[in-house]
Amino acid sequence: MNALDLSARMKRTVRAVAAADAFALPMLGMGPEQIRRDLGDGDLVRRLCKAPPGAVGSAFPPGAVSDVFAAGYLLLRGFLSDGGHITAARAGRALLRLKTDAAFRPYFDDFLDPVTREGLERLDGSYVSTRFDLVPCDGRRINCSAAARAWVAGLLNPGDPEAAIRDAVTLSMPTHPNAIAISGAAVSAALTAASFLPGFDCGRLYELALKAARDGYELGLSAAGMPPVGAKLPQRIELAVNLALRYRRDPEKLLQELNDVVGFGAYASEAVPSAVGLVIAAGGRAGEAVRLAANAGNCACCTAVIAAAACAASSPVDEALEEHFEKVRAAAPFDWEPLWAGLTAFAELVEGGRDVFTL
Amino acid sequence: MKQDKVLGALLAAAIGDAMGAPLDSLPVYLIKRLCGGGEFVRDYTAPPEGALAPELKKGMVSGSFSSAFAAVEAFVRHGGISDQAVTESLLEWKNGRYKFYFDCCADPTTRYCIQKLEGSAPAEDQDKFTGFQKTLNSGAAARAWVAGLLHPGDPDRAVRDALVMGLPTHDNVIALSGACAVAAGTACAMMERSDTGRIVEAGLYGAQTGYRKALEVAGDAAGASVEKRIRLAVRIGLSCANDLERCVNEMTDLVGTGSPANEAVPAAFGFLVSAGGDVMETIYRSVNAGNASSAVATMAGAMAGALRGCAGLPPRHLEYLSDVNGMDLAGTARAVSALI
Amino acid sequence: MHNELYARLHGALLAAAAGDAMGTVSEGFAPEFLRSRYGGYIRDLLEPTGDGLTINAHAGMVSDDFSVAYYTAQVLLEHRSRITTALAVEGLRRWWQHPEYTCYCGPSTKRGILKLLGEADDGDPARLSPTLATNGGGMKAGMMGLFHPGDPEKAVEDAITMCLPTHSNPISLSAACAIAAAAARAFCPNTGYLDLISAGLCGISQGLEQSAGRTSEIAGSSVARRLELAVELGLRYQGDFEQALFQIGDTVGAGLYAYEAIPAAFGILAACKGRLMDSLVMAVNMGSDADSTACMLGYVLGAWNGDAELPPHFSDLIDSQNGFDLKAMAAGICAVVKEGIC
Repeated sequence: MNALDLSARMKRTVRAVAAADAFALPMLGMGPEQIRRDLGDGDLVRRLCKAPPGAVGSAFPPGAVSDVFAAGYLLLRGFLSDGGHITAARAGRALLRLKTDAAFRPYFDDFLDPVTREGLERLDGSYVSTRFDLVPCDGRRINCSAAARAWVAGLLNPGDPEAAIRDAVTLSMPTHPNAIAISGAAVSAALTAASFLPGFDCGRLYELALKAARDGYELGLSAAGMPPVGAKLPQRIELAVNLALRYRRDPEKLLQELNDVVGFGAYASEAVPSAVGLVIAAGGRAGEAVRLAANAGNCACCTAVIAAAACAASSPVDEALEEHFEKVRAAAPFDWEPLWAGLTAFAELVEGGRDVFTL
Repeated sequence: MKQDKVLGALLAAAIGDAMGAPLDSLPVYLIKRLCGGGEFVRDYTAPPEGALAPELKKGMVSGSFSSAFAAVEAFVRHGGISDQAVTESLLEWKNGRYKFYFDCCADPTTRYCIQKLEGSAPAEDQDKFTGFQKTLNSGAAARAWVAGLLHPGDPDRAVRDALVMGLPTHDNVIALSGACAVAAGTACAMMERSDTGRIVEAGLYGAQTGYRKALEVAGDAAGASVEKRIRLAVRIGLSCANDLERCVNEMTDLVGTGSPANEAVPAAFGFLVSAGGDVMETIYRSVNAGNASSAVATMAGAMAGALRGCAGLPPRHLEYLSDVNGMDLAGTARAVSALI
Repeated sequence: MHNELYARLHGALLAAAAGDAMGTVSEGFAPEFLRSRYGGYIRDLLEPTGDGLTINAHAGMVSDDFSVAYYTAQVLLEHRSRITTALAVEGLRRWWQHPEYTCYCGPSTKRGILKLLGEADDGDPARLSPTLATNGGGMKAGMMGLFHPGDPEKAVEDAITMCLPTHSNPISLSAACAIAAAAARAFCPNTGYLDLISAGLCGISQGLEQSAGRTSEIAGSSVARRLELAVELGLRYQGDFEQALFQIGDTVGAGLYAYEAIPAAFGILAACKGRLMDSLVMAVNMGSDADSTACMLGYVLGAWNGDAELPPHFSDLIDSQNGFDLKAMAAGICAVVKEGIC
């Protein structure tokens, strides 16, 4: 893969992630049955729509993204400004812009999850300690928001899942020093990185997801220094993939089963395995995976973003996603040109510097 | 109390066999359409077009119960289970009052083995019916509950006698393991304070012990483990409690409900658990799974009936079945309870 | 009063309180951490270490889990009445006078109580979030099983009445009904541990049916499906206590969502074949929301097994540390049951 192709695929991934976030936003907090009834007219939702009144996303126009993409964008811009190197310090600084930068403050105010919020407060020194900080086990920081940003680590290690996993740990530590959250981040990063490998297939995707979940957990355990409290990823990934294979021809049943057994909620042990399941059910096609994830509802933005990043680079360009992206471009305050330029430069660095296609 | 359990077992086994016989060999998806008028079957029906044994009229039991009943009668005459009593019962089934059922239903291997006992086996059939795998079916298991009936609360003796009953026709470790599981389960169900959990435990013990003992005396066989399949079937049954349709489909898809002992026996335990020990619900699940429906329903019915007795069994069944099949269920139950 | 009903009622109350009290020591911890800290499994009422989620002073003190139900039951016994919405609210109001317990209350209960007492605005009522689908219903609904021994259907009805004020979503309610139904079933003769599990599943479907139209839709996993998964794991690892503990905790979770804690409880029940102390020990040592899981198991298995298995010093310690009189409460419930009041 030459630099041109690499940068094209990287940009495609970024567009798909943004589109996924926007597409899923109206469905936040709803269940699959409710979405089908209230938004889809008895079917899956396929077009960018407006959230129904009373839903979490109802205050936002179609095309708006959530903090998921906004944070990812800030991280990516931050790392690209230094040749794509990921450090915890730079990650922290980038995420803090959600709080301090007027253009991004709405994402902090309207969407940001409590774990990231607390992480930012620790970073800027405004955190007030509570007695829960004394507990030597961490059951509070096991949500999926670190995983929902970890595609950045995958993108910046195209074709190198091992390196992506290590970078996912680094990326997560400022807000999620927790082995379960990091396990989830590792899965997302690894799958994103692997989507740049030639001839990648679903069976290897499944194996890689399991491996990344385990390796990420071990690395996260050493990094965090304390055991997490909560369900773990590998068994859930297995369950999700089994369900995905069983019901892949019946999207309605698939979403119901995944919701009922694995879950689409905010825990890393729900959103991440379900996203993996959806990618496999969609046969690695990004547009389909995103559609399924959005129609699953609940923590839909995270699931959709993880799913999109895991297969956009290896899928052909999806028209629906590109269309959604155009709406995102119109609605959101992001500087796309510097981002594309940064990715182009990075791809050239990669071509010049290292051979990415070794596994 | 004992008599109530004995009659419960006999009656429920007969109900299961008679309701299941017309559905033998049918897949689940055809049962509603062909036999239930669009619903699942919850009563005796006439055999549909293409039934396995069209001569069996509505309300008639099949090979499973008829051979078991012949065994019960022989054991009553002899005052217990012995090789001689077993031989006599098999010959009686083939030649005596229940000949009609034998002729309709006995599978070729069982037929051959009984002919051998009698000395009338055709010489040219020898190669066909000996060797591995030939007698893996649940014929022995479908009778073995009788051994449990006669040894209430004593799974070890039930297992021992299940082997005595089963060896002449099912010289094969898997078939016998299944038979011992059912025998032990029934023995446990016959206890005063029993429940489905205990019956499952006993069944697992029977499967394991039966397999071990059978290895010493019976022919080898390749195939899935009855014990492990029982565990799987119980998990399925429990997760599909209160949902008959899901239960029969999952059991069919994952455990199997066919004639091999490592399908029918586990399925029987699974359906028992799924119905929470309710006798009629156990039978409805067993028959509507089709395939080896009469065998599964006989075994599951026997265990459920032994557990609950006749409570919950509408009184019409006793008279109807005794009448249609010419079998004195009540009288035989009295005779059995005098023995135990 | 020493008849069987009393023994089972007392067993249930004591075991539920014991489960809660034992579990407050391990709540919020990870199982592997607990093993290394205690050098084995926690099997007794221990002094909390001060770095946990609990801030109880002493061994034997319960937390919000058991206390909410205790004070609600007290109200019912005083009024000699079956539960009504008004009495459920009064129970909460009485409980709210006890800061030693209310300091623990979960996010849903707090929100609900403050609203009921007229002290808080609900926020955007449409902003439904799965954080409402907690196990706060399940942890008190076991008590309704005790008021309807042998009658799971009535227990389910009352569980709904009891929990609607604070947990008006199908996930929390169906989970509460599972516990209430299983606890009620535990009093029926010839009930095996498998029957307790199917009663729980039955309770879930009845609960969903009966509460339809009275709850708000909410996103979250299915209590029934997770319960099936947990039970499958429990059955599979019956011979291996440690494996069962980790597999259930890692796969299903034992946290505060109703689709984790209640399923985990039934999985534990399956793994331990309904043995009381083993089940409490497994729940306690699974960490996470250990006190809730153990409390709920206590209702079901204390009723099923009676109180004989519990260590003899538990009764006095729990009564004295909490100002309870569980024997009197058992006698009181026994009386109203016999009089057919409920």
